[in-house]
Amino acid sequence: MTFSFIAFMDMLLFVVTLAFIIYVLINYKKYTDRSVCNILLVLSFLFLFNSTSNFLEWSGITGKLDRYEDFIDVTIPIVWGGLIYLLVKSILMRRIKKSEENFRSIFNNTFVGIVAFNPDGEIFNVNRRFAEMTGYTSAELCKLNHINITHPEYKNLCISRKALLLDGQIDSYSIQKKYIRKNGSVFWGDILVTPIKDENGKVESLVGIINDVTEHINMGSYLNTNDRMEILGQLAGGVAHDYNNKLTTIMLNADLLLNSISPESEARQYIDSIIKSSITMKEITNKLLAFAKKGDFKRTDINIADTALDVADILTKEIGKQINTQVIIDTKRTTVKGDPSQIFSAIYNIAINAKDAIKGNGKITFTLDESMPKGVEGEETYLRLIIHDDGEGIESDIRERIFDPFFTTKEKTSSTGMGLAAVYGIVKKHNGYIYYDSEPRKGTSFYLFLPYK
Amino acid sequence: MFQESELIALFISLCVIILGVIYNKHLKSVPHYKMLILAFMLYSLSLISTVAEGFLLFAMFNAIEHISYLLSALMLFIWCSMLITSERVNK
Repeated sequence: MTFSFIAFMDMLLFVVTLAFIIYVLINYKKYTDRSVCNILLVLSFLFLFNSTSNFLEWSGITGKLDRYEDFIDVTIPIVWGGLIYLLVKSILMRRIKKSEENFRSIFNNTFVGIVAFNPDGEIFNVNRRFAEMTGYTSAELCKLNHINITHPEYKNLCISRKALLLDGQIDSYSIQKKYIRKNGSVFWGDILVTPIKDENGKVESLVGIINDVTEHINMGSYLNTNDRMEILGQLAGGVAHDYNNKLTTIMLNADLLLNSISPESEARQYIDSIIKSSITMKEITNKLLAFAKKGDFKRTDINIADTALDVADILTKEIGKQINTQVIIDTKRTTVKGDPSQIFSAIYNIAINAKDAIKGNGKITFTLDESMPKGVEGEETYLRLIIHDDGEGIESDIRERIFDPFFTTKEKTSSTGMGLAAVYGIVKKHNGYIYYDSEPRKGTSFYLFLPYK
Repeated sequence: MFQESELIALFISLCVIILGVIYNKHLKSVPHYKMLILAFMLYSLSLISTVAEGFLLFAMFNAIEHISYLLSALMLFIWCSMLITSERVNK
């Protein structure tokens, strides 16, 4: 009874194992991990041999296969161990792969740029965002030194901070600096650099996390200027109004005095001088009033394209062929509501500044298109006039003050410093916006936004 | 009496169990790991029965050995098919 039962069990084992082998072979390609699949096949073949040997022995057919049984008996648990080892290894590898995929996904999809470089500054890994910021591909960046994409103004700062970090005097450093894109343009980045150390505490590499703050910086200076201009405008407006009244009295009385004395009188030249000075002062006061958004204001249709063409024409006549002017009109709607003389004055003042910024030969471009000012939301549409010159640019230390009344970098005798202040007031009075973008020795662009309504 | 190979197999099997206990945390991540462990435990039981049959209750332990061997193969087969199914679902 026992004999037949055992033989039956072995026969069943043979059938199950055979089915197992066939199943594994059929589904061989469906297994992700082939090494596990192979070891399962080995195990099942060993089972098959064992069941065959036992069946033949217990059914009394032959005991010849019994001589291999010792080997099979020892091999089966080893293969079991191998199977468990491979499964654990496979799980660990999948986890590592998954973790790496997650890390790679975070690394590439974060909104900050990440760059890894060795202590010499040679880049060896960057994320997608940093490549987008710089305009280079990841492969191109990995051939560059971190200093190559740093603006020359900040190279020494970076080198000194990195030296302190490598020396162990600081744990990390954070600076705001300018980067140079592949196309030569510049962007501002806040960078935090931290070291990656080996087990001995030696710095192996450095990781920089960069946030593009160009827009914030431009916007920030623009908002600060806006607030300051409002206060200055109120002050200037109050002073200019009273000043204008007194100046009118002086000019009227000087005129009366001039008419009351004989034409041969010596005093006439002094009175003429008073009148001339008063006229100059009147012009300054009018600009001050314009800056303060006060004074006379007409509201008619102004064709900005025509105004830009007129200004370009006057400029060409004034300066000859030394400076080229170009007007690009990239919009069908070129008319806004406002005071034509004030708008002309604003555009002309910017153009004069552009001309003065060019030393030698150069070019001034007027570009007219439609665009929304930065940070402005709503349905209102704006006409944008960009006045670009390829002159000396504006130095960073004076950028915040260029719209201030009486601020000038020119000779005091040739400029009152009211030009851009008046432009600012005129644009504001027309519910418009003005800001600028400048690179020393590369040029300046002024952006005038005027609403259509 | 028992054979040396049976004792060696039992010893290796115990080592594999220890390995399983050490990597218990990772082993739990294997799909349907309980079925796999059950298959191995049944196999180990067959080894214990093989050794035990040499000392006492030969007929009973011999029967247990062959039954557990069969069930072990069956469990491994089931686990293998479940593994294929779960991989197909994951894909």
